[in-house]
Amino acid sequence: MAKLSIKDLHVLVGNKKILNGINLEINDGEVHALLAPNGHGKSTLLAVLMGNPNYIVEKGEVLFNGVDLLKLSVDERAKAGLFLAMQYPMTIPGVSVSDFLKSAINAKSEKPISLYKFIKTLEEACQDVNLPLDMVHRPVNEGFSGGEKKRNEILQMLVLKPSLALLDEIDSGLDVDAIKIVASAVNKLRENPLFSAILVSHYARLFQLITPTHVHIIINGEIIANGDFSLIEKIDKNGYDWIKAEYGVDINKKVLPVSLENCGVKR
Amino acid sequence: MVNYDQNGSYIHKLSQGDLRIDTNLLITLTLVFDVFDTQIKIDLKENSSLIVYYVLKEIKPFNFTNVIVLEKNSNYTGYLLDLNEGDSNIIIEIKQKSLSNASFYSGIIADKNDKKILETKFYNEENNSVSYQQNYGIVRNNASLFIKGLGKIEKGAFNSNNRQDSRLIIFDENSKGKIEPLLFIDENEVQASHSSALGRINEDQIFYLQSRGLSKEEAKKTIIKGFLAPLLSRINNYEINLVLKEKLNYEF
Ligand SMILES: Nc1ncnc2c1ncn2[C@@H]1O[C@H](COP(=O)(O)OP(=O)(O)OP(=O)(O)O)[C@@H](O)[C@H]1O
Ligand SMILES: [Mg+2]
Repeated sequence: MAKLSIKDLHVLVGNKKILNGINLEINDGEVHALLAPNGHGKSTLLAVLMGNPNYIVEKGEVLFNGVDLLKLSVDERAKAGLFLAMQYPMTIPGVSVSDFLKSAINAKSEKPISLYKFIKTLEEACQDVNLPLDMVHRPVNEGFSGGEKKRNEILQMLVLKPSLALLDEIDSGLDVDAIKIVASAVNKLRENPLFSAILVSHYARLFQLITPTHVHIIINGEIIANGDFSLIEKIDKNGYDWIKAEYGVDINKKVLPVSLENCGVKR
Repeated sequence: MVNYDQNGSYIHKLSQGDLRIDTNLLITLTLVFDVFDTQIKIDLKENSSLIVYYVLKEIKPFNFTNVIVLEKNSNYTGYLLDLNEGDSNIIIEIKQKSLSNASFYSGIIADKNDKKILETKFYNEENNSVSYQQNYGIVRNNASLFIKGLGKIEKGAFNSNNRQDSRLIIFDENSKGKIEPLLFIDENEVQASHSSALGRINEDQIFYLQSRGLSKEEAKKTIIKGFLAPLLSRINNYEINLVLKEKLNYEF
C-alpha cells in the first residue's frame, strides 16, 4: 500500500475547475518534484491535500496510510503527519512563533513538552535554518522578510517532523546561501527513511540540492508527464513550449469560470 | 462609603457603594464582582492616583455602572476584561477636573448568543484634562457587541485631549458588532480623535494554525489571544491572570 494515493482528483475553486483528475502515488522515502507553469494548480493540489476549505473536491479519492484523507479535518491531517510549507505564509498578529510552536507540538503529543526540551528543540531548529533565536519571540511572520518567512516555514517543519511534507516554493525569494540552508534542512529530515515530500519549485537549482526520486509535470490541472531529473533539466533549458508538440496539450488553454461562459452565451 | 487613606494594593469584593481615594495617595484596586447589578462611584481626590482592575466572575447577566470623578491633578487607569458567558451592560462614566488624566482599557468577548454593551462616557469638564480609552471586542457564535464611546469636552476645558480607539473582530455571519464613537466639543483649544476598526476573522489564518495541528477552536483562541495581546501585555494582575488562564488558556 502506498503512503499517499491520489486517484482521479478533481478540484474547484469558487466556480473554476483547477484540478482535472490528478493521479499520484507516493511511498516512504520518496521525494516527488512537481513542476508546472504559473497558475496550473500546484498550490491548489497541496492546499487540497492539507484540507484548505477554499477548495472543493468535486470528485476523486485520497488515501493517506490507507485512511480517507478527505474526511479528516485540517488538524487531523497535521496530526496524521502532513505538513504544508506555504507559498504565502500567513501573518498571525500578537502570537509569537514560540507560543504557536509550543501549542503545535503539544497538539501532536500526549503530554506537554517540557520547557527545557522545547527550548533545546527551538535552538537546534533556529540554527538549522540560520534564524536568530530571538526571532521566535516575534509575532508569526509579522514584518518578516520574504526569505525569513520561508525559513520560518522550514523551522516549523523541523520542529514538527512530518512524515509527508508538502513544500510549496520554499525557495522563492531566498538568497543563494539561504537556498542551501533550506535544502540541507529538508535533507536532514530525509535521513529518516520514512520521510517523504512533494516539492514544488520553478527552479532546477532547488532540485539539484534536494534530489527528487520522481518528477511530474502538471498542465491545466493534470499530470501530463512523469519522469526523472532529465525532465527538470529539459524544462530548465527550454521552458514549457515543447510540451504541446510532445504531449499534444495546449498549455495556454485557459479554464474559464462558469459564470463568465454563461455571460458569453447570452451575448 | 469606603475611604482609602493609605497607599497600597487592595482587593475588594463589591456590590454597591462609594469609594474615596484621599489626596496624594497611590492605590491599586482589584474589584471582584459577584453580583448582578452593581453601581459604584469612585472619587479621586486631588493628586491621587488609582489603578483599577475589574475582575468579573461567572455572573449573568452583568449590569455595571461605574462613575469616576477625578479631582484636580488626579490619575485613573482602569482595566476591564469581560470574558464571561452571558449578557452584560457596562457603563463607565468619567468626569475630569483640570489636569487630571484618565485611561480606560477593555477587552470583551461576546460568545454564544451573548448580548453585550459597553458604554463609556468621558467628560472633560475642566482645562488640561486628558482622556484615553482603548477597547477590544470579539464577537462570535451568534452574539452581539456594541461599543458606544462618548467624549465630551466642555466649555472652558481648554487644552484637553480626548482620544478613543476601538477595534472589533467578528467571527461569523450570525454575530453582530458595532462601534459608535461620539464626540462633542464645546471648546476651541482642544484635541480629540477616535479610531475604529471592525474586521472579520481571516479564515486563512485559521487554516494556517490548523495545518500545524491546532484544532479549529484552539486556532480561534490563538487568534483571539493575539488580537488581545496589546491589551494583555499591559495587565499585570493575579486575579485577572487567573481568569485569562481559565477562559483563554493564556499562559504567563
Ligand atoms: N480563490 C480563488 N478564486 C479564484 N481562482 C483561484 C483562487 N485560488 C486560486 N485560483 C486560481 O487557480 C489557478 C491555480 O492556482 P495555483 O495557485 O494552484 O497555481 P500554481 O500552479 O501554484 O501557480 P504559481 O506557480 O504561480 O504558484 C490560478 O489560475 C488561480 O488564479
Ligand atoms: Mg503556487
